[in-house]
Amino acid sequence: MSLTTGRHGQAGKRVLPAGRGNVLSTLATTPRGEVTATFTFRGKELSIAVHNPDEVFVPTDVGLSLLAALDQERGPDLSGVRVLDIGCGSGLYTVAMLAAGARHVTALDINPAAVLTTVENVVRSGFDAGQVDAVCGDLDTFVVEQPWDIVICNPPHFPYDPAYAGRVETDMALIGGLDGRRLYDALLARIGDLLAKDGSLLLAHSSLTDVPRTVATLEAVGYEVQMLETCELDIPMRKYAEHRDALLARLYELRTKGCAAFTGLRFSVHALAVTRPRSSGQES
Amino acid sequence: MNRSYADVVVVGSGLIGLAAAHELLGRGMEVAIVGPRTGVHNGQASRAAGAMLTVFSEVESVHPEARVRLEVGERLAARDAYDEWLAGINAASGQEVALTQGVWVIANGTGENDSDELTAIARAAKMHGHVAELQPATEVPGLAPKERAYNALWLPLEASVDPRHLVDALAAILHAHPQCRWVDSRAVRVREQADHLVVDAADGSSSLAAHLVLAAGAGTTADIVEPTLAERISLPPIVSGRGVSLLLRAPFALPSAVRTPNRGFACGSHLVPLSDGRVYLGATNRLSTEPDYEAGATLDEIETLIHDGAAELNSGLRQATLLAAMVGHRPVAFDHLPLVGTTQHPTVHIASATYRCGVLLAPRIAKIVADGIFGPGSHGDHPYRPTRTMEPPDLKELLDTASRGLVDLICQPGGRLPPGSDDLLARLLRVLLSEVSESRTARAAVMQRLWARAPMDECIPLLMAAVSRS
Repeated sequence: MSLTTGRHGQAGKRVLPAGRGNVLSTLATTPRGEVTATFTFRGKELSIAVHNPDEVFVPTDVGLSLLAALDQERGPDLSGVRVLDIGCGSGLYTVAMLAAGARHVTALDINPAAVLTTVENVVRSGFDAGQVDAVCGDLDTFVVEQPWDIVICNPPHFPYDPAYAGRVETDMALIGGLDGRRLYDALLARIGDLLAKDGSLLLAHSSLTDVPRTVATLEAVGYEVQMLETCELDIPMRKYAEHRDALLARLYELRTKGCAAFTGLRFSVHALAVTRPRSSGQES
Repeated sequence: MNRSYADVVVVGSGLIGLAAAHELLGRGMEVAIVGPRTGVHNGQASRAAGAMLTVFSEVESVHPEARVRLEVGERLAARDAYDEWLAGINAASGQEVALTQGVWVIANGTGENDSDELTAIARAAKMHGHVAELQPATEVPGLAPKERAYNALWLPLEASVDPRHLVDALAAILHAHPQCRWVDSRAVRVREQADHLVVDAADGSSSLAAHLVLAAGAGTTADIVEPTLAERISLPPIVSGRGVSLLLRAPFALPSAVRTPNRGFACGSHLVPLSDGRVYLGATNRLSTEPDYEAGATLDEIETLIHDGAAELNSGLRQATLLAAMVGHRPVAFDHLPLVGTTQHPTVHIASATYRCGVLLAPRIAKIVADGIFGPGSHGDHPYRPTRTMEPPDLKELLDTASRGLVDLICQPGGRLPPGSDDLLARLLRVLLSEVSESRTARAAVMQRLWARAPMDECIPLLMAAVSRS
């Protein structure tokens, strides 16, 4: 897999097979209903456990594709960094960043069960709970004390439709408002506060939520966007499979407006690394 | 493995499938079609069709008013959109597929009461604000039958078209369209792979899509859908009305189509003008629960056509030269209404069972299917929805009214029993068939099994044949 050579240069492309979920990790379920996802990141075998998969998402190929893009030392240097994991879920990125040498991770999620699960997985993976600040809350009201070296996020990406969206916690993890972009836009609005001067934003950007718009927005305020890798895979219908007709109808509307890219049930996740250009003397 | 992704995969490459694909492409979808593009297309209804745009002339005097309003309403909506649809196809293909305006419906003594039929057709036209001009039969160009017609109805809103030319023009557009992938091969299996719908073709390819449109006509889809998926889709049965027709070079001029009204189980005789002095003579209609697409026209079917055409339409047909004999399998559901829209499975849609109105309904059906994909539930209470309940007719009641038609069938082509004998034979058939159907003999079992597979008027001749053979 070739490394990226520039901003939108020849990013590597990973293609996951159709009709199979969880290609990038190995899943196992215990008789008590606890699910573990095991995967390798930067030479280390890691495992995330979720005992309440109805409340907290087990790591998905969408989320794991960002780690796959960062594997083999691609992307920014992670040793000794301070990380903000937005929408930490089961703690996938929190644990992966600690394993890659991060000094400290602030893990934020609107779902209290996710916050608990993240801490459990940090400890389960042999890290010190003191290296993590787990915060239950919304990004919009989140108070920043000191900007982070790494901000990492796999935002929800489905457009809202009353046919399938309830007020369940896992809906919040998948649905991002009418156009799917709620958390993307919230993140873009605050990126200046969140990111340290030489920091990197690592984003698992779904092709369903207008990648060009995010790139243009960031570039307009002086950021450099690097496409580390694109991963082509099935749209994860998951529990919305029963209402896939409604979800697809929403996506067709977005696609007609040029705001979503997909064919059939295939879409892409773009692993983006966003930085301020080193040569620039701009204020953060 | 040769695999491709599309938003929608259409199974079936007749007029309905192609029209649906065309509509979806126009709305920005990536479409895959699985069905023969090249080859001879034996048994395909689209290419064997007379292709009269029969907005009113399919109405029968026995149809209740509610059914007439429903069917004519849909056909009128299709007719209203037709000219623009055809113009779009011509523009995109560079072809000039033209409509020939008007259809004549004639009344003669062959039918039980053609007068009633013409009255019903005229009433349907006027009910919807359209012209139906009663004229003397002598005014009908191209009409010179052995058996004199006593009346004729001119329907200027109706029209006819060359369906082969139409299908070819659509096919040319789709074949060249960058967002259309046409697998020139028969579909052999339809299945699910996680949330994808997959169509495997005889050439070894697999097409994966989010949505599936079944548009493969009579009796061909049931066997290829994988059982658990088929159960979820829950499609009502589709049987075949097998039709034989002839392409001829006629020694007389025919400016507009001329037809008899529907007669019993058949659709009467019709002559339809084509280009270059050719005419189409149609058509027989024999029900089949297991259509054989490779079976060519039998002499019996051709003889019936020639006899009825010469007797009722133009005796000059005997001097016509034969260009081709065609067979088409008209797909039909038990209640005779098309099956169009989303099935019990949210991303599987059907576009079929158009019986004798497929060419007319094509643009309307394409729109309904596409609307259902872009706006789920938008046609949720449409009369053609595949999820509707169908009440099978009562066999005994049907036998009461069908017996006269059976006598006509026995006396075909054109023979008649002496007065009184036909009534006697009709009563006898009614009594005998009713008694057999209610008995507990092996014959009764044969009858009941056949009836279960096709509980509709057109099954009656098959029941008679089955009972006589047992």
